[in-house]
Amino acid sequence: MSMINYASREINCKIVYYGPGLGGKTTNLEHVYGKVSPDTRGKLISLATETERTLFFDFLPVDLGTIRGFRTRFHLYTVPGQVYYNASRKLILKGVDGVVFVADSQMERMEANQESMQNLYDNMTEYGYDITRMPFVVQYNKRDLPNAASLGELQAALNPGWELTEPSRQRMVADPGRPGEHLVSQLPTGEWVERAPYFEAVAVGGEGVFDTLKAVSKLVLKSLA
Amino acid sequence: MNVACPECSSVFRVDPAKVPAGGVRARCSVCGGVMRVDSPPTFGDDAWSPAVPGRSATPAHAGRQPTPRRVTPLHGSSTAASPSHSPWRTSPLSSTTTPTHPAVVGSGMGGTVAHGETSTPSQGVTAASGVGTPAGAAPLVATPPRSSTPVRGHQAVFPPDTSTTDHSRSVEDTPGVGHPGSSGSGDRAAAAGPTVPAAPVAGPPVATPPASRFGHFPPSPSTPPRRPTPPASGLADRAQRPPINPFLANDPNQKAKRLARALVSDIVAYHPQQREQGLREGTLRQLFKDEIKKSYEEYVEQVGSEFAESTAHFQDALNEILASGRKMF
Repeated sequence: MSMINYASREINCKIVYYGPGLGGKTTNLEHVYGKVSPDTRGKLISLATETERTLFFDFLPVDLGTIRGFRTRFHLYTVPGQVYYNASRKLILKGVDGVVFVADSQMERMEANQESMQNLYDNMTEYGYDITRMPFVVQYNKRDLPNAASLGELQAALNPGWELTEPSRQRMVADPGRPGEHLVSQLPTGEWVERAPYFEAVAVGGEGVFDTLKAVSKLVLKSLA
Repeated sequence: MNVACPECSSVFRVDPAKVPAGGVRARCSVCGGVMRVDSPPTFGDDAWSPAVPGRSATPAHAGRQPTPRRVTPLHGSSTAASPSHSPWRTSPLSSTTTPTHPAVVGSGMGGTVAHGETSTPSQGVTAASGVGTPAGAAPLVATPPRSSTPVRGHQAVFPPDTSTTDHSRSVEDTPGVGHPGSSGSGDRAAAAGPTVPAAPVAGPPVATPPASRFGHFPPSPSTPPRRPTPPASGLADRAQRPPINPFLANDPNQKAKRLARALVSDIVAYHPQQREQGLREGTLRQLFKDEIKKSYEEYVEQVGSEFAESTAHFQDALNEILASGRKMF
């Protein structure tokens, strides 16, 4: 969870980029690292294999301004995506403040996406965290590839949402990033459902990377209130 | 009375009054298999004690019943019990965790990140949180054990049995009967002849569009059947709906199937050239011996050896994904 140091007037938040292997999590961080001023970022630490596959995690601290005299610093982490590195994934998830799920849009990786999403839900639950009540955004990466699935298919498979039962929350909430779409809406069958905000990205070119980061960091700061 | 699916051994509660005299065919809402439900004997319901299978049940399938308990500790080998903070001690800013003082993130949120939240007081921020769902997930998280799912699935076919325990979300949680794009049991069931009226999917579709292009999605209970069938009415209609969020449901069979396919998908994704060579030369087994072994060990660790050995999920995944549909494993 976020750490607030009153003595040094700092707020530290942890954001984890989760998702299947080869989905673009590290690429997201590399792009952030490349674009952020050296004054506001720390070193990008990457524990990778010889073939540059993430073995344990990537870590990048980024300063995102000052709030009421408190310096906000976001610690960005990635996890190893391959299924059998769950011990590492779970360890890295500990104390998370916000999650970015980086999905691989390629149709061939749909099941890997789903397995990773399920793994995220499971690991969060095992820590006692409720992903539906945390800052959580989904990024559909590799949108430029010809075999990319449609957004509708990806949303249906990976971001189906969760039911809202509190009457006070059962009202349409527009998605600020997507005109005409809603984060909270009512299904034809009557249930009210909330979905995570989602973003399209081509991380190798930087498209959508900062939109995603801004969205999740904004949600994290809101959650601190 | 209870009826057991001959395919997956799931037990369903059936209101005997709803079974016609000549019996009826019903589709299992868990695996999509078709079973015969005969009308109860006239000498009383005692003969239909719990777990009495349908007449068409074959004992050979009894061993296929999954062992949910083995699946439950998914990722059990992880270090959950003692997660260390060491990985992120690289940060020089670590400090004690303290509850946020409202003033800290109050009206001053117009920092670099806040994007227009400059004058938003803390209470406004709380209310506007886009992701928080205080109560929305609760019913979904509290997914009942697997054994209760078929019971609720049964409610699709027959009026609700007041003796069942879960009522609030019985409709939404009820798994479907297969996926149209799959070659799984849903198709099998459809080909098996007429079923009870509740079998076809009906009613207004869920807002999320179908994943029809992914025909390989597990044809499991929590994957919605998305057939454009005409609406049926009432309970049957509602009961055919898939759970809103399958990730919050608990279906060991689907989890195992998806895990197997994801593991094999990883093999393909990480070794594309090696796979091409293996396909070309027919040497997939040799080339991927270690990878397959490693993946299978992970699979067994997560789903349990009994379940892994009693199902063909992993083998199917190897053939369909790694071997491009050829039967090489």
